[in-house]
Amino acid sequence: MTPEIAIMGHPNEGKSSVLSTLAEDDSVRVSPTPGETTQCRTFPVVIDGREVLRFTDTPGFQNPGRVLSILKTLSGEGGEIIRKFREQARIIAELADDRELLLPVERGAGIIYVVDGSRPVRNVDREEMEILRLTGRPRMAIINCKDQEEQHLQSWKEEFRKSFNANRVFNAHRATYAERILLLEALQSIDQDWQPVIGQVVTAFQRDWAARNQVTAGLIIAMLRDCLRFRLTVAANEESQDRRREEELVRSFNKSLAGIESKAHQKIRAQFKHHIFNYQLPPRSILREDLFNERTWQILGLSRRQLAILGGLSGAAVGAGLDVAHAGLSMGLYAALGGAIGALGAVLGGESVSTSASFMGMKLGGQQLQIGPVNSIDLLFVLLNRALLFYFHTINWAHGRRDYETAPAAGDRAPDQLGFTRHWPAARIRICNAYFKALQQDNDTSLFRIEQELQEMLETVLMEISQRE
Amino acid sequence: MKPLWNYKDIFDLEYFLHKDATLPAGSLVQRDRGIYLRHIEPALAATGQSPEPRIILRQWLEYRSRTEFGATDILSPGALFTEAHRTLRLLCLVIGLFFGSIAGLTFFNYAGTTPVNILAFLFFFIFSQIAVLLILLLSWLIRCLLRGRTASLPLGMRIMGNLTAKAILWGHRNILGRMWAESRDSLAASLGLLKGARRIYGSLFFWPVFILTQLLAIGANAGILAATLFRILTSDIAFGWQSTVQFSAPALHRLITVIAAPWSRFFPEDVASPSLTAIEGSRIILKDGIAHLATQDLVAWWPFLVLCLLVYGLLPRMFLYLASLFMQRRCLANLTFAHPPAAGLLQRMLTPSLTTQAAPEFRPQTTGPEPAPVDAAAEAVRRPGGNPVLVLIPDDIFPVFEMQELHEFLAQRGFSHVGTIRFMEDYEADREVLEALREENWQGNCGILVLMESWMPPLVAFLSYLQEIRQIVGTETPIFIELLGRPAASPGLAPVPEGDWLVWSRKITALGDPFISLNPLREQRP
Repeated sequence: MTPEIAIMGHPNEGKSSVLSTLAEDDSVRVSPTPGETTQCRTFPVVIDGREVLRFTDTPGFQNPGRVLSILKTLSGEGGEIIRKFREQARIIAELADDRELLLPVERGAGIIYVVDGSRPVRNVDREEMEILRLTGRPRMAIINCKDQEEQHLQSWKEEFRKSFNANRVFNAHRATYAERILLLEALQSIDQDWQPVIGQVVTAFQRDWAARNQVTAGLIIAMLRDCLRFRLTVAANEESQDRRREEELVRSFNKSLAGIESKAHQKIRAQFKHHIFNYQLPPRSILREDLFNERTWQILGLSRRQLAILGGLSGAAVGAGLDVAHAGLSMGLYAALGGAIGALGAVLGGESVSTSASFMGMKLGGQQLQIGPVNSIDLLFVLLNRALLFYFHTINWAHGRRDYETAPAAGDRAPDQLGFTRHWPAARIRICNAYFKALQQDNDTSLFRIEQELQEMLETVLMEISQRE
Repeated sequence: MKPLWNYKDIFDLEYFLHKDATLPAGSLVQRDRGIYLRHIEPALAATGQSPEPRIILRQWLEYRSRTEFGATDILSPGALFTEAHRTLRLLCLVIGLFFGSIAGLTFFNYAGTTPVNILAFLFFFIFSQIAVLLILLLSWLIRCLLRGRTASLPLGMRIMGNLTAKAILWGHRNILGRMWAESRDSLAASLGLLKGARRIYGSLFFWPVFILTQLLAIGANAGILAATLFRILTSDIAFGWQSTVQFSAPALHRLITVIAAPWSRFFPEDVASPSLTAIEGSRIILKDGIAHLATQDLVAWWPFLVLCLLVYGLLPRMFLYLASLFMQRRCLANLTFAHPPAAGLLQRMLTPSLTTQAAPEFRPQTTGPEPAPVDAAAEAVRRPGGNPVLVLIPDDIFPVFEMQELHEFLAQRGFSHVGTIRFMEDYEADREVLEALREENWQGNCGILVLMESWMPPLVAFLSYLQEIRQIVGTETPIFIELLGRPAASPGLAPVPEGDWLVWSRKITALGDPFISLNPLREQRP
């Protein structure tokens, strides 16, 4: 029989949130109104088509005192008295919820008891714990602090020692991948019989995570390639002197890059099973800024030290592009790009544009007006940082969390203001630079080799971000 | 005598009470005591009326309506209802008349070939109305039967009851179960509000609707009657009867005689109902045509038809209309206003303010007659120290709750403390508490005050415990639930968060018990 773990507790303590986060399922009904869950719902863990473990969400206790009073009058083993209780409670309408929530226990499920550690322990809680003790099933308590307050934690832990095999603090709203794995590992310890199964689940979770990171790294590389190679070409007729048309061209170039980026982000999001959460990030987050916003570049561009590394390495390949990029930043990128084309048109006085003319990656030649590919490595770092930030927010948005609209800015722990690459060692910067050069040179052999290196490096970076608590 | 209260007043009163429910109690005490001292007491003294609760409430309402709606063009909810009901009454009558006359004119359409079918007329216009009246009578009888007895209903009704309960359970599981808890609770609270209104006002709100249906029926019957008379007077109509089933003319004659029984003694025999000869003479067989039938037999039916419409259609409806007017008036005359919001308002008006500074503010600024000073002694006799309450405190907070604070709070709310009971220790102890409550005498005006922590969601256990208490203390003993905020949030009594308040108020409202009131303890404090 498949081992089953029932998530039980008082109404509105976050049982469904915990389950939603553990099972990475944002379709679980979670709301601030108590009594949202009225029927048991099972979430199977399926590995290679075989159900190895199942979690069951249950309604909250509604009559702990009465249930305990009845249980005390019954005799028999844990599972037996629960069966007897459920039989007896069949005709008592008030006990419908309590009867329903004990169903998985009657089937022999283990128990995760969820409490809100930000409130004091009450008699009803003690009654619930006593009921769970009487069931005789392996059980673990989870303290899910709904508010930030932790002053009652100690008294909860003391109560737990009386009737639980183990207890853990697990905030369903902030739990990271690492914390989920730790919780699962802790479950192993409460019952020896569960060890092999849960061990298997933990391994499967870890492998699945690594696979997702692998796909994500691939998606990021593909996005970088598409963006850095992107070029936009239009016929340059008489009207091309019209400054407005040139500005439009730049705008459409920027829009295309932003589109490529956004598509890649959505693919990353799909990797992490988010259906509802769609980045209603705090307003100060850099992810909500435009890709070509001056601020974005200032924050996510390279540090002075990294510029020095790159300058020593590649010299001219970066130099000119960077200068223009930084001049652009000071005036605003749109103005820089649009102004450059406009100024060029004025200088050339409407004559056919020289084939070698190039500004900021915009080659202007013959009867063709071409923008891109961008020859500034800054764009690579901006895109990379934004992708990593996106990844960070995605994996750390717990599935049990539903405050999409009102997510407090204070809770946002993303290093928005720094950028992930700020503190990267030279070796990583070198790989990025080599990749950028390979893209510029359009050399497929070296590009393939360097992409492999970049893929490995990104997988390590993603795992590092996942392990952050 | 015209009842003191009418629908407009009740709607307005409920509107003001509802509005006041969201205001801080401190300001309410000051305002209502002020209104009483400045406006009601002088008025009562001037007219020599006795200070009955109904009269005081009425005066308060008049003052509030005057200040809130008097100067503006905005109609009060009560006035809006009265206007709407008046319009609806007229509309029902007109619609009834219109459709009745259309139906009548269409039915009595005779072109000289096929006479108007009497059996169809009886079936559509008379028997259907008799059936509706019978159903009405039956439902009234069932209601009377159910009201009187609580156990051992007839088997058929028990089965019906069981089926209804099963349907409700099924609906709860399959329809309500799929709703979000918030919508489910709101729905339950709305139903609770209706139930509560029924308990306060009885059938009061049923009669306006009943009156409208009666007016519709009166209109329809009058319309049919007018159309019938119009056709009879302005055109020649032949009446006949036909049936595929071969029942005899004497059988039909017997049926007609029974139908005509109510009026047969007031009219000549041939007028009250057609004679056997006329019935035989007006039988139609389509293949034979009607040429051979005698005209006097074919027209013999009309007085009977008109009397049928009058006696089985119009008169019962007019009787029901008058009866519902009477019932409505009786309901209005019997209003008691004992539910907590109204009782609270009365208490605020009649309890002398405890602060010394407040009194001068209540003095009128005008040079009019000085209001008589409050007869504090007389009030003390009427309400010695305010309404007595028995306080129930959960075991969890009993040790940390300071009695001094409780006494202060009770005094501020105009309650007097008669005792404290510790509850929610465990299930057995709570049973003992119920037994202790059973021992008390609940005949007087003693109420129960329950302190609860707002941040613990109201469990089914608590809600059903409340209902058990209700059964012990009687239907109209006030139960006050005072909610406490989270203890750690701030020193002293913390305010109740809005979310918690909403959860609690929905659950308590869903009980449909107007004598249970919910208040946040914090707001009562200055």
